This record gives sequence, structure tokens and C-alpha cells, in this order.
Amino acid sequence: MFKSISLRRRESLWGYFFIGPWVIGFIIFTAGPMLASLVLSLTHYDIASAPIFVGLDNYVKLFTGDPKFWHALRVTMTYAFIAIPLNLIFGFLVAYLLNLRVPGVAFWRTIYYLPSVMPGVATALLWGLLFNPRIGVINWLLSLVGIKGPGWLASPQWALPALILMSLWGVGGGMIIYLAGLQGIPTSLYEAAQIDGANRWQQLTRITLPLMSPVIFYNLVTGIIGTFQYFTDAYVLTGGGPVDATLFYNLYLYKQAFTYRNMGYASALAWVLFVIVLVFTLLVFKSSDLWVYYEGEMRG
Amino acid sequence: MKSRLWFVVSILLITVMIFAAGCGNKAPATPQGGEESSSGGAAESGPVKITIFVGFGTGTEPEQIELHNQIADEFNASHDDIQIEFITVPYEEHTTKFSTMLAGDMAPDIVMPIGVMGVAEFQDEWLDLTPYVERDNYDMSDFYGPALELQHVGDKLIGLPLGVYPSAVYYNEDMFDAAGIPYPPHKFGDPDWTYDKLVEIAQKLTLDANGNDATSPDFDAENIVQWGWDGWDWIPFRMVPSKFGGDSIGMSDDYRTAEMNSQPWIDALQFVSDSVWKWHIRPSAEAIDAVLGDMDALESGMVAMWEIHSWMSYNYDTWSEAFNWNVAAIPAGPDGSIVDETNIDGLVIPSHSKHPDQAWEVVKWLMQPDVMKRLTDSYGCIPARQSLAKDWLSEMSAAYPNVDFQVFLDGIEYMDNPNYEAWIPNYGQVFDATEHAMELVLTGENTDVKAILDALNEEVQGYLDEYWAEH
Repeated sequence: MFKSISLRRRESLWGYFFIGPWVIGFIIFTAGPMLASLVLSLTHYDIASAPIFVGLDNYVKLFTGDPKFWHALRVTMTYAFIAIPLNLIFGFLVAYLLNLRVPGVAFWRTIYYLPSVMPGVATALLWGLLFNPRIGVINWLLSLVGIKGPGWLASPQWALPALILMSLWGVGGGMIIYLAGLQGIPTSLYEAAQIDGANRWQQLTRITLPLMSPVIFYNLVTGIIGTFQYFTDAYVLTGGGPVDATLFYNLYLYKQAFTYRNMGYASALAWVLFVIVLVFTLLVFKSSDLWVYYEGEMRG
Repeated sequence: MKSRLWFVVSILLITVMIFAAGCGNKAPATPQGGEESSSGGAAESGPVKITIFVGFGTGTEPEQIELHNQIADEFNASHDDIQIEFITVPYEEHTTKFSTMLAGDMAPDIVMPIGVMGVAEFQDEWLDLTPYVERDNYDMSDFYGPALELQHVGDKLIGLPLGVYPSAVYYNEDMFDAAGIPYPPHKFGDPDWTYDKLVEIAQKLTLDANGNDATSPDFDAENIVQWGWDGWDWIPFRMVPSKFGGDSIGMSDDYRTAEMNSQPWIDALQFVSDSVWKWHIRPSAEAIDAVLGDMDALESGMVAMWEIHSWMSYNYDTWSEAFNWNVAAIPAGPDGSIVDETNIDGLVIPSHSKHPDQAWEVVKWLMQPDVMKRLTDSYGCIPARQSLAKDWLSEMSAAYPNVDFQVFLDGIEYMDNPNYEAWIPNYGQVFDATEHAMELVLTGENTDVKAILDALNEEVQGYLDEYWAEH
């Protein structure tokens, strides 16, 4: 195959040949459905009967006549604004600690990383047990220090905080990336700083953090995208309740699509979410000029 | 540049080919829709295949699938012109799978077992069986009248009833004995058996950690260890107003005006609220989660009475190992009327079936007493044929000699109609809104019943307006 053509061209053809399956998959299973959902968002569609074109009706209703949309957005934002920074900080702290020369470090790294490779539903069920007010470990521990634990997932006030707490279980995913970043920092920089008399705090703030900023940036962007798509834990554990306290955006979208069979409206919800995530991601990208440093980059 | 162009073009070509292949599979099924059905499948070579969709309710457990397969084998061995096949779909996926099959012009020919809610989900999809019943002079006199009534949508007979699941008040006899309270009446219509009376005895059966009952001035509502009643836990709030002189529809007769802040709805939600926060006889939402957990009310050993359907039969053995239990009649509401909330399972034929004539033949075969009996035994329901119900009674009584199963059979005459799962416009959204109203009360987030129902009514009116604007 391709024998009569130049090596360079042949290589590029082979390249395209090998990425071909992915591109075909992308077009059929991602780009195609995305486009279809954009068209469907302009219709009323219940799957069983043909879609009816309604123009921008779904979008108008979404912004002007659907309090649940705003509620779901508020729940998701609240979760995002607390869970993302918490995860960034904890992920970094754990990675920082596991980068120190402590005994059994490989064991600890495995332990901390393990939860992030566990399937979401299994994790959710496990946390359901931990939060159980009657037989759960969390309230039992609280009772040892004389605190009567709340109803957690059954309580409208505590269900969202419970899910935020639960999100920390997954810090291992971010941690492993931080760890890789930390190990990429040349030790010579620390040695030079030590000779200059810098203490640990100064080393952290003047060397580690600036050099880690691209990694933090990466974790922030993926964190934003992941958090806005938050679904499994709430679906398994609370179903959006109690009294809509954990009605996340994607859960509401799912209900519109698969419970109420409003596929058109659900598609509109999906596109609005896409734009929201895009805006936040672009804002973070824009802000990155101010706080992200790349190696070899000179700043005035 | 050129190679890139070549690449893009070939990708597009492959994509188009795959799509074309996908569509091509579908094509042959489309054309002769109706013709075949009237010609009895003569146009086809070989037997007609009738697909039976299972997933709208029970019927998806491994042993039930096994039974379906056995029944299919028996049918197929004795029929040359028709062959049947069961398609089993997990309950969570039934809506999308069934919708997709309709959209893909691959509608199944029979759906079973399906309850009132399943029928309501696809309200306009079911074939009117009246012409078949009339043509064949099909004898329906053996079916329970109320069960047959629930198979009507408007003036259409959309299905035949397989089995019913009436409700009753299950109670823990040991708790009654310990409190020295006589058991509740088993006879429907007993003049002493009202919800007021139920509250009265439930208060005596509700105990705090110090052993005080809910009528005692020393009663500690923060430390309840036993509740007298678990209300209508596991049953949607829509049902409750029918106990208080209203119905489970909560709308004007033309379904255009919401009436969910009417007096019966207010009385119903007030009763739920009082049962938790005033009389303390029923666990709050948090207590249910915290104390009962995943166990059912009776199983928890912390609830004395629980009004629920006969489909609890799946847990009878667990209960029997732990305590003595029995069933009492449904009490009368404030206006004296008795409403027994009932679930039902039946068989329906989608109007998009390509072989309705053959599907009807299969339905008749499945409704034969001996086949129905095997199905209803497996589904855990009371057979909709009165002749079989007697067998059911004697078998259940032999298995649980202490329990008065006649109560369930008596309850069938008091079946709720309109059923609490009956169709309403924008079903799912209205359903969720009514559940939300009750959740507010059960969690204690808001106990201003009137305000909750005014808000509910406004929300539901919005859904109705939206529905009628589109239909």
C-alpha cells in the first residue's frame, strides 16, 4: 500500500489511517449526536412520535418559565464553587505529603489513588452506607465525641454537604497528576534556594506553586468540566432529593429526557450547559495569563 | 493538502455508508403495516412472530424470565402459524426502549405485565380490544368487575387483567398484644373502623425510648422507638385525597384546570402532616431513612401498622420469622367512604403492532386459567379470574395459616377508580410535583399545608397549560 508515494506522504497517510477509526467513531458517536441534539433542541420530541419544530421555544421557556432550571443551576454552582477548590487543595496537599520521603510511600500512594479507579456506582453505594444515620460509620464516629450526627442524605440541609464531602474521596485522580508534576521539578532549584537560606514555606510558595501552576490549571479546567457534569452519585444516592436539595443540572436534564420524555427540551438544557461550561473554561483560560507559569517563560 | 482532502472525503464516505447500512436494516419492516394484520399474516412465508415486551413492571426476575421462556416453548410447540418470543428489558429502561422500538417501527405485539401507570405513560398507544372481544364472543364474566374496569381508557378496552394487588392494613400482632390493644377489624365496612380510630390506636402503639406512648404528657417525640403507623409510605401522595372525599386526579373533568388546593387535597396533606408532627404516629422522612433504612416498615420491627399493597408477599417469610402478623381492612375516611388503593397487571396490544390479530390469539392463550395461574403465582398477584382467586386464597392460607387473606379479596370491591396511577396530562412532571409537596411535609421543611398546595396547584396549572398548548 502507498508504495509509489514519497516517504513523508506515506507516513502521513499511515497516520491518518491509524487515527481513522477514532475519527469515524468521533463523527458517528459524538459529533453526529451533538449536531442532532442541537437540531432536536429546536423541537418537541418524545421519541415515539416525529419531532415538531418549535424554533427557540425551548430556550425561551428555559430562561423565562422554568424555576427548576434555575434551581438546578444553583445547586450545581454551589457544589462547584465548594467542591472544586476543596478538591484542588486536598489533592495538592495529599500529593505534597506523598512526595516527601515517608516510609511506605508506594503503599500510601496506592491507597490514596485506589478510590478514583473504582466504579462510580459502587462508590456511591459505599458512601450511602457510610452516611447511613443508623448504621453508618460517620455518625458513629461523631457519636464517640458526643455529637449527634445529622440525617445526611435524608436531610434537605445536609444532603448537598454530604455529596461535597464525598467528592473528596476522588482526590486521588488529581493527586496523581500533581505528584507527577511535583516530581518534575528539578531538585537543583530547591538546593539553590536552601543555600540562599529559603525556608520550607518560601520554597513552597516561590518554587513549588509557580512551577506547579500549569498542573493546577489543568486540574482546575478538568475539575470544572467534570463538576458541571456531576450525575452518578446524586442519581444513585438521592435521586435529586430530599425536596430537590440535590437536583443537579444533569439530573434535571436526565429527568426531562428519560422520565418526562421531553427530548427536545433536554437537548436545549444540554446545549445551555455546554455554553456555561465553555464560558467558565474560557474565563479560566483567560485568567491563566495572570497565574500560570510555563517553564522557560519570561515574565516582565 | 491533497492527502488531507482524500482523508476527509474517505471518512465522510465511510460514515455515509455506515449510516446507510443502519437505515437499510430498518427498511423492509416499514411498508406493509396494516395490510398484513387484516390478512392474518398470509402474506408472510412461515409462522408470524409475536414479540412480548416485558419491563413495565414485574416479570424481569430470573425465575420469571425462566417461566416466560417455558411458556413460550409450550406455545411454540403447539402452534405452527404463530411463534412467540419474550423480550425482557430492565424496568429503568422500559420507557426509552419501548419508545425507541415505536420510533424504529419495530413495535412489540404485546406488552405484559403492565399496570395503570405503564398504560398511562403511553396513553394513546394501546389497541382497542372491543372488536376482538365482540367478534369472538370472548367470555369475560370470570374477571373481577373492578379489575376489568381499570382496563378501560375512555370508551376503549385497552387490555385484559392478569392480576390485582389490593391494599390492606398489615399489622404486627405482637405489638398489639404487648400494648393490650385488640386487633383492628378485618371486615370492610365495620362502623368502628375509621382513620380517626386508626390514629387513636396508633398513638397508643407509638412509644418513646422510656416506654411512654404518644398520648402520654411525658412522651418524648425526639426519641421514638416504635411508630403506630407508617401511613402510605411507598404509595404516591396522589392516592391520599381519594380517602378524603376527593380523587387522585386533582383536576377538572376536562383536565384543563388544576384543583390540587381543593378541600380533599388539603385534608389529605394535613392528615399526613399531623400524623408525623402532631400525633407522632408516623416516622418523618429522616426517621424513615435513619431508622428504617432499606427495610420495609413492618420488617424493621418498629412499626405496628402499615397500609400497603398485597405485593408485599415477597417479604412474608421474613416477617413470619420475626413476629406474628396479620392484615386488617382499610378504614373509612371522614365521609364514610372506603377506598382500597389497588395496583393491577394486565396485557395490552400496542396499536403499532403489525400482527394484532395474531397478538390477540396469543393474549387469549395466555389468559387461559392454567397459564394465567402460573403467571400470577410468579408475579405475586391475586389472579384477576374469580375462579382462580379461590385457589389463591387456599394456597396462601395454607402457607401462612395465621393470616386472614380474605381481607384482600374483600378489598377488590373497594378498588379506587380513577386509579391513583391513572393518566393525567404531563404525567411525570405532575407526579413529581405532587410527591415534592408531600416530601416538604415529611421532611418538616414546610408544614403550611395550604401554602404548599397553593404553590403545587400553580405549578401543575403551568404543566396543564403547557400540555394543552401542544395538544
